[in-house]
Amino acid sequence: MSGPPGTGKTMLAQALSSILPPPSPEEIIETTQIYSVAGLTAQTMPFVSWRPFRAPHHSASAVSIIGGGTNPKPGEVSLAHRGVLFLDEIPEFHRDVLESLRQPLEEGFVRVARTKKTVVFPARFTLVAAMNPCPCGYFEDPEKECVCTANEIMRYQKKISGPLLDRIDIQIFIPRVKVEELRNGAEAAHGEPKKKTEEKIAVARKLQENRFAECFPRIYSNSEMNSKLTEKYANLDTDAEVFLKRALEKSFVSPRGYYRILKVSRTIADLDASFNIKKEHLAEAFHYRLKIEE
Amino acid sequence: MSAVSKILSAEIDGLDAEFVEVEADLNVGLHSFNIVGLADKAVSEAKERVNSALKNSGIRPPSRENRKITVNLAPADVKKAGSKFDLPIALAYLSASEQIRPFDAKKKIFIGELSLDGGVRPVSGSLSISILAGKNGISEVFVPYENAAEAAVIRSVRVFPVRTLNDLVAHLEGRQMRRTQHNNVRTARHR
Repeated sequence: MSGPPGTGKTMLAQALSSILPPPSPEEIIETTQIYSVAGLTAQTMPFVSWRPFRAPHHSASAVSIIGGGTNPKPGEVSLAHRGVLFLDEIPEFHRDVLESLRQPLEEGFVRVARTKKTVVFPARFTLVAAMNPCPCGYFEDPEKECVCTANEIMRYQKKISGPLLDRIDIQIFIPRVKVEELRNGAEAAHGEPKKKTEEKIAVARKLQENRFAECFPRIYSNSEMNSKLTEKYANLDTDAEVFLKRALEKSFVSPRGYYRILKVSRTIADLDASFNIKKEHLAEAFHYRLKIEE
Repeated sequence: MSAVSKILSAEIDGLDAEFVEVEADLNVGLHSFNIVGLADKAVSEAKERVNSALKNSGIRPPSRENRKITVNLAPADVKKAGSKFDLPIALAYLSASEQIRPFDAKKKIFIGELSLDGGVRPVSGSLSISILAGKNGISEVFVPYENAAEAAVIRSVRVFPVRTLNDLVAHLEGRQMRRTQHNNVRTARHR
C-alpha cells in the first residue's frame, strides 16, 4: 500500500486481520505451539484462538524478525503464522531485514541455521506493507505539492528491491480522502458492511478448504498452492484465456508473477463464488500487480 | 545409601521438544553440588533455587548434607538452557536422598522453574513437551499451573498443574491427589 500520510493505510492493515475467518483447531495448535515456545502464553489466554497481527517497529533486527539466537527462538514472521505481518513504513526497515523475508514469503517457513543445529519455524503469514510514495509523502497528490527531487523519490522507492516487490501480489495506491467528505459522513455510503464482507470471505475460504481437502501435506488456502495445483484449479473461461494471452504479450511478468496472478484471480473468483475464472477476475489480479511507481 | 535417581524432562529444540533425563547421585565426601551436561548459566543457577526452595518447603536441603551431589542432564552433549529443569532437579535430588517415598517415574515428565519459597513459576514451551509426551506414550505431564491450560490441548496425556513443590511431593507420594487439567481447543473462545 502506498499513499500520502494520514490516508488510513495503517488502519486498513489492522482491519484486515479482523475480517479474516477464525482459525481452525489445527491452526490454533500450530500457532499456540509457536507462542508457547516464545513464552507468550498465559493461564488466562492459553490459546492463540485468533488470527495473529504483528506489527514490528522498523528498527527491528533481522534476528527478531526471522528468528534465531544461540537458543533459536521464533521471530516475528513465525509469530504472525496464519495471520498478518504488517510492516509500516517499509522503506525505513533495514535492507537485510527486508531481503531476509524473501525465503519465508515463498516457502511458508524459515530455516534458521546455526553452528550447532538447524531449526525450522513455520512462517505462513500475509505480508502487508505500507509506505509513502516519496520522502515528503505527497508525490502525485492532486492538491499538495511534492517537495522531493526526482533523485530522492527514486532512491526512496528503490529501498524495496525488485525481487521483494515481485512477491507482493496486491499493490495499491491509497489516495487521500477529503476531510470535508469525512465530515459529511460520506464514507458510510461507500463500500459494503463488514458483516457482508465477512460472509463472502467465509464462503471463499470454505470453497478453498473443500478444494484442498485431499491434498497432502494439508493446505488451507489458494496462496499455498504450488504451480502444479495452480494450473489444475485455475479454470479460465474462454474470454479470460484470450485476455491472459494478450496481457502477457503486452506487459512483462516473471514466471513467479504469472502463477501469482493466477492464484490471486482464483481467489477473486472464489470471492464471487464463481467456478470459472472470468475475464474481470483476471483483469483485477493484473491490475493489482502494477508497480507502485508506474 | 542410595541409588542413582532418574527423572524425565525435556528441552526445546526449535519448536519441538526433546527428552532430557535428569539424574542425581549422592557420594561420600565434602559438600558440593554440581550440575553437568552442557548446562547454561540459568540451569547452573538452579542449584541455588533448588536449595532454597527445598529448605522453605520444610525439606532438608542439599546444603545441610555433607555429601558430594552430582546432577547430570542426559544426553550430555546437547545444550540445555533456561530454568525449566529446576523442578526435575529437585525431584531427582529428593529421590536420590530418599526424602520422597519411591514413585514410578517412568511414565511421568516434569518441567518447571522453582521460586525460592518453593512455589512453581511458569516456563516456555509446555505445549511442545506435551506433544512429545503424547507421541512417546508418556501419560502424565507435570507443568507449572500457569502453563497447564496450553499443555492440556493434547488429549492423549493427563496434565497436572503444579503450584508448589510441596503439592507435587504430596501428590507423588499419594497423600493428596491433584486434579488434572482439561481443555478443548474446539470450544476455545474466539477473541
